Order: sequence, then C-alpha cells, then structure tokens
Amino acid sequence: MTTPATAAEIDRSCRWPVGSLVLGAVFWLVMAGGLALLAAIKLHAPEFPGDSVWLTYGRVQAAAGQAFMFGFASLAGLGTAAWLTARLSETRLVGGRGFFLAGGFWNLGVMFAVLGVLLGHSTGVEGFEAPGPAAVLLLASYLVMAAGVLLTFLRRQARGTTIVQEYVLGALLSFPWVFMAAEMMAVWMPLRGVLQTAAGAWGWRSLLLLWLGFLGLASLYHLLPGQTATPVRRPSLARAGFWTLALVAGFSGIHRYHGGAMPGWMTRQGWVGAVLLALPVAIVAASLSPMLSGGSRGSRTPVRRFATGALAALVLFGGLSVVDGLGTRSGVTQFTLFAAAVDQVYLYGFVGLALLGMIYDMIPRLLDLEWPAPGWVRAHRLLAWSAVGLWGVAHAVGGWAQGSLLKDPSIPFEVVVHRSLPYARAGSIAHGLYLLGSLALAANLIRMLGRAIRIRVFPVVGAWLKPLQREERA
Amino acid sequence: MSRGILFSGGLLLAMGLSWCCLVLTPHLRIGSEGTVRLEETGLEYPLGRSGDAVKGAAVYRAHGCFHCHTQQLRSTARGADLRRGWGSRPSLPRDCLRETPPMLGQRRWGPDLADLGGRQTNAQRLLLRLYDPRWDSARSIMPAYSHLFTLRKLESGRTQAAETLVLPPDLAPPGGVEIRPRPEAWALAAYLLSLRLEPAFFEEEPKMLPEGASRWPRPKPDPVLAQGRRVYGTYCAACHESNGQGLPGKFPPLAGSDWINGRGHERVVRIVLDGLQGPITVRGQVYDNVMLPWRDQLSDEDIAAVLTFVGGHKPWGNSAPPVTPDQVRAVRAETRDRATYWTPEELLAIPDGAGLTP
Repeated sequence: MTTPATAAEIDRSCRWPVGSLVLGAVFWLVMAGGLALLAAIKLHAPEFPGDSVWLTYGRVQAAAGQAFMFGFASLAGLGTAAWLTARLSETRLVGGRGFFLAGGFWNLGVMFAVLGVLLGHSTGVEGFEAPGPAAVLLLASYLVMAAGVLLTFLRRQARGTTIVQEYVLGALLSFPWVFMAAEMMAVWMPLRGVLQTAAGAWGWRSLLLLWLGFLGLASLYHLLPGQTATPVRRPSLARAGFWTLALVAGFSGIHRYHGGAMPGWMTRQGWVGAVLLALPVAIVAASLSPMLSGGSRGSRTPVRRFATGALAALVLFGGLSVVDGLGTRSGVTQFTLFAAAVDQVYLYGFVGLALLGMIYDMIPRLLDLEWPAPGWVRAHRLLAWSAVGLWGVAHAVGGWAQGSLLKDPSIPFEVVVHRSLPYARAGSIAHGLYLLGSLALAANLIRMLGRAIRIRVFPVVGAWLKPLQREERA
Repeated sequence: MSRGILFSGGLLLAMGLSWCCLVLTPHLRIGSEGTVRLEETGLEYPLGRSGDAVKGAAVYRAHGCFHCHTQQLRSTARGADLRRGWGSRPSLPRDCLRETPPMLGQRRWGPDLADLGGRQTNAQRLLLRLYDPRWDSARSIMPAYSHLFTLRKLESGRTQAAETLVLPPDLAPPGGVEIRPRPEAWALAAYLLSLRLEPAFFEEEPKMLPEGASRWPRPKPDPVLAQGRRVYGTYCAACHESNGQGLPGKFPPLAGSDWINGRGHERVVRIVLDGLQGPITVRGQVYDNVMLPWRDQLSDEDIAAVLTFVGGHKPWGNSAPPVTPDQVRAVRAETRDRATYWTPEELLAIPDGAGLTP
C-alpha cells in the first residue's frame, strides 16, 4: 500500500489530461453557443444569413445540440469526473496519456457529428443525429477515459466512498449502456415504426438526466460544501435523490409524443414521469439547500455563485417539468416553446452552470495559476444567470401562450406563430448573452494558458536550448 | 467489492425499469404488427413509397425539416389538429410502420405534415412553396430553399422545359431565364405528397368527433359527411385548400362563401357538374379563373356528400342545408345537354334560393 498522494501531486497528474478536455469543452461551448444563436435568429428572421444548404434551420439547430451535449457538457463532465475521482481517492490519475489521446479522438468524434449534421448526414433521430462513425468514435474514446477513471477509483487510498464519488460512478456507468442501447435500437438496428422514436426519446432523456444529471449533481455536492465549509449533513437524503432520479429519469422524455402516433399507454408513462421528476429534484434541493447560507461573506466567490445558480436552475426545472407533464396531458404545452424552456433551463442552466463552476474551480488548481481577469468571471456569471432566467420566463410564458392559441382552431396557424415570435426573440437575446459569457471564459482561458506556457514551457525549452547556444558561441 | 457489484447492478436495474416499460414492453406488444389489407382498396396499408419518395425522405431528414414540422396528428380531445384541417383522423402506430426513422417531430413552427398528401396533390404548388414560402402567405416564417432549384438561361428560340417551375407573374424571373427544380426538390415533393393518413384505415372505432360534441357518449360518425370529406380531399382541396379558404387572387374560398350559404343547391350543383368560367365575385373579391367540370368523375352520391360536407361545415362558417342525391340527379338530368362551362351571369339568372327546401 502506497502512501496517499498530495493534492498538488494529483493536480499535476491531471494537468494535461483534464486540462486538454476542458480546453476542448470550452471550444465546443463557444461553437454550440454560436450555432444556437444562429438557429434562434433564423426562427424569426428566416432569410438570415441568406440561403445556404449548410445553414438551414434544421441542420444548425441539431448541430448546436450535438456540440453542446457531446462537445461541451460531456467533455467538461469527463474532466470533472476524472479530477474529482483522483482528488477524492487521494491517488494520481491512472492512464494520463491514454486520457489525452482518447480526449483527442472524442473531439474528433464531436467534429464529425457537428460537421456531419451540417453536411446533411443526420440520422434523423432527435438527440442522436450524429452519423454512425461519429457515434462509434465517441463510444470508443469514452471507454478508454472511463476505464482510466474507474482504475483510479479502484486504487483509492482514502477509506470509504463519498456522495460525490457515487454520483460520478453513476454517471460513468450510465453513459455507455444508455448510449449503446439507444443507438442500437434507434439507429444501428432500428426497431419497427414508432418504437425507434420511443427508444430514441428514452435514450436522450436518460443521457440528459442521468449522464449529465449525475455529473452536474456531483459538481454541486463537491462545490457547495467546499465553498461554504458546510458538510453534507444527511448523506442518506443525497443517496435517496440519486436512486429516485435513476428510477424516474428515463420515463420522462416520451411525453412529447403524447396523443400522436404512439399508443396512449406508452406516452402516458411519459407525462407521469415528467411530473414525478419533481421528487428527485426536491430531495436533492432539500439536501443541498442548508449549504446555501453557510460560510462567511468572503466565501461568496464566483464559483459558489455558479453552483448556487445551477441549484436554482435545477429547482426551476423541477417546477417546469411538472407543468410540462400536466400541460402535455391537456395538450397545451405540447409542440411549443415550453419544451424549449424546460430543456434550456436544465441543460444551459443546471448542467451548464454546474460544470462552468467546476471549470472555474478546477483550472486554477490544475495550472497552479489564478484567472488573469477575475472581472470576466463575474461578468460570465451575470451573463449566464440572466440568460437562464430569460429562457425560463420568456419561453415558459411564451410556450403556454402559444399552446393556448394552438388549441383554438378559429385562430389561423400563421397568427399563432406570429404571436409566439416575440418570445422566440427574447430567446435569441438569451442565446446572445450566454454566448458572450462563454467568450469571456474562452478569452480568460486563452490568456491563462499563454501565461502557463510562458512560465512552465519556456523555461524547460530554454534549458534544452542552453547547451546548443553555448556550442554556437564556441 | 461486493458493494460495488450491488451498486452497479442496482443502478442497471433502476435505469432498466424505464427501458423495460417504454421500449421492451411496447416491442413485445406492437413490435410484430404487420401491414393490413384494406377492404375498400384491396391494398396493403401502409403503402410502400416510390423510389423518388424514398430519396425525398432522405432530403427531408438531411434538412432537419422535423425540427419545425411534426408528423403526428392528435385526436380532437387532445388538440385542434384535425379541426385545423391537417387531416381526417389521428395518427396511429401503424402509420409509421415503414419509416426508418419516423420523423414525428416535437415542435410546431410549421403546420403538421402527417397527412399533407391528403390535402395537397399538386407537386408544383409544393415546389413553389419551397422556392419562395411567402409567395402565397406573406407572413410565413419558413426559410426559402432556393438552393434546391437552378436558374438556367434559355437558349434563344427554345421553349421552356416541361419540368420548369411555373411562377406567378410577380415572382417570375426576367425573360429568357427558367427555374428548374433540382432532382432533390422533385424527390422531396414526391415524399411530401406520399405523406398520407389513409382515412379508410382505422385500427379502432374512429375518434372523429363532430365539433362541439362531448366525448361521451360517443356519437357514430356520419357516413355521408365522411364520404364528403374524402371527396373534398381528393378533388376540391387542391385548389380550394383543405381549410376551404382558397387562394387569394386565384381560387375563391368556400368558407363563408355567399354562393354557398342561403342560396340553395341549384347553382352549386351546376358548377360542380359542368365547371365555371369568367369573373366571379366571392366575399367581395373578384376571381377570374376556370373551374373544371366533374360530371363524369363524380356520382350523384359523391356530389351530394361533398356539398353537404362543405355547406354544413361549421368551422368554415357555413350553414347551408344538406343536398340529397335525388336533388343532384334532377339537376344532372335537366342540364344533360350542356357541354360548356357555366358563366356567373347565367348562374345568377337562376333565382335566389331556388330549390331551397322549405
């Protein structure tokens, strides 16, 4: 049995493997933001920016989704999983080089997915639009990285496991099985008829709520106690949240197809699931909320505010999900902006803010440097908060209004669309704000990397070159 | 270690529960569904697509059309889909049997397309909409897919090719140039026209409810109205549109038309039998176009059914009494020797409200 590694040693073992994942994640965050903004604008200004095959709404919208899910959220999540596991197991990250390489291939896979969709090779299954080879590449590189994290966990020096580790392991175990099952039954060897759509909807919802949900919650269970110096008082509550989420998550996506081609006994489970989602959300919120008031005034750091925002977005998501479930049953929220509100508050709000908090917390430790522009971090937090708030309000209100108009056949369809466009415009503004924040992070990260290279790489290269220079002089 | 196995096994079971309920059970229950032979037509439903339409489905998928258009109609109890004229019955699992993947869609920024082939039979009209969605509805937010078309210079002395897109005068390109749909555009149009929810096929009792009726007790669907709706979808909707609004400046509306409401059946039966030519004023608008005769295509029962359906369709604001096959038969016999279109003047000479049963 070796002695536990120190925090500094662990951070050094994670520096390039995790750092490269985060770099990729931030790149895709900006790309996804740009694509999503373009799609949002195209909705109310259809001829913007001119008629081009690659930039039709359906393609850009899907590409933005792929870039955010598999580019930003999954990469940042994998980085978070690796670093948290190494830190909490008090052991160095296993297979750093494999991680580095697999991360590169994952980025390549996301590139294939995004370009594939833009070039018209979408599979047509919502959420799993990435063409076949891209999906295989993602899965293969995932297995390498997940193996690294699992091996690190198995070599743990610390006794027992924490809540955070359980959430990370839950995420790592859920991804391959959900991803494979969904790809298999919806894309590679499709089932018949509407069953493909059911498999796709189940898979996409499970990826969102389990893979990203567990990672987001792991981040919150790490950040909030650490930032406020308040321990998780009732771990059993956190565990209850974990297991109820695992049970309910997969049910809740299929309600978007309620009343249509799918039999009612299938989709009914969907809206019941969407309503029941409030249960894990409430449990998790109850177990995390005591930490919100903890800590001194000085501990109200931007990182903590990202985490608080993520928790608020999660609670808002729980509420919206209940309304969405009941509203779908009565046919109001179906096919409207309301669904966008639920998804955006969850994905950009909860998952996005939690993982951004982790990035802001993790990167300075990995590089052993401070953020060069702390003002930009605060600005990013404000921009992201207001974007999520704007989505939550404008799209939820707009979606409800749109649904009520859609239900009334005496109002022509065009009028329904036009009365909903102001809310869509507000959504575009939110996308703009979110992108601006992402750009602040990207610029900050680039400056920080520049400094890291000056401090850490130049002296090393200089030391190599010194003998050569001496020879030249001689 | 045993704790680890317990944890992973438990997680797999917990996540697997929703999979069992939403994917496995449905697969066991409806996964082996096959096509059904329809007594009315003798064909297997759902029909297979033509090669062109199969290619068109790939174009639809590549462009991500399902991000704005759904392909699932809900029953009247769940939404206004049917009352908006998007189809004659709700979608059923069997409708998607041949789709890989079914592109059901989750958002509605454009109208539902599940039964587009049932309300639109004209490929040129669809192509026009793809070329410039605002040609007939100025407020449409659909982007123009002009990259599906090529602009070609006509060699001097040559006439336009048969597949040239026919544009209304205000959109027509300058002389000497023609606009040709690319093969992808034709394929997409073929696919769109193949989207059809066969009204004759119901897995269970039809869920169509007359407007305003409560869900229970369930009334029997009126066979005459169903026949009228079917005839309308096949013969009339191409010009007068499925919503009965016609096309501004081209084809007059039937909804709220002063030629249908309160004027008896004599004039409209004559129009349907032998067509109409010349400027006609409907709802204050003048239309100068030609309507084709249907004397040889439609039976007395068909004409009576479609006029009963159109005349009594409350969502369109119509309230004319039903027309019987006997009334149509009488007019048909009376006008047996007429071989030309009617003109509006001739029709107006028939007294107001003639034939109106007291």
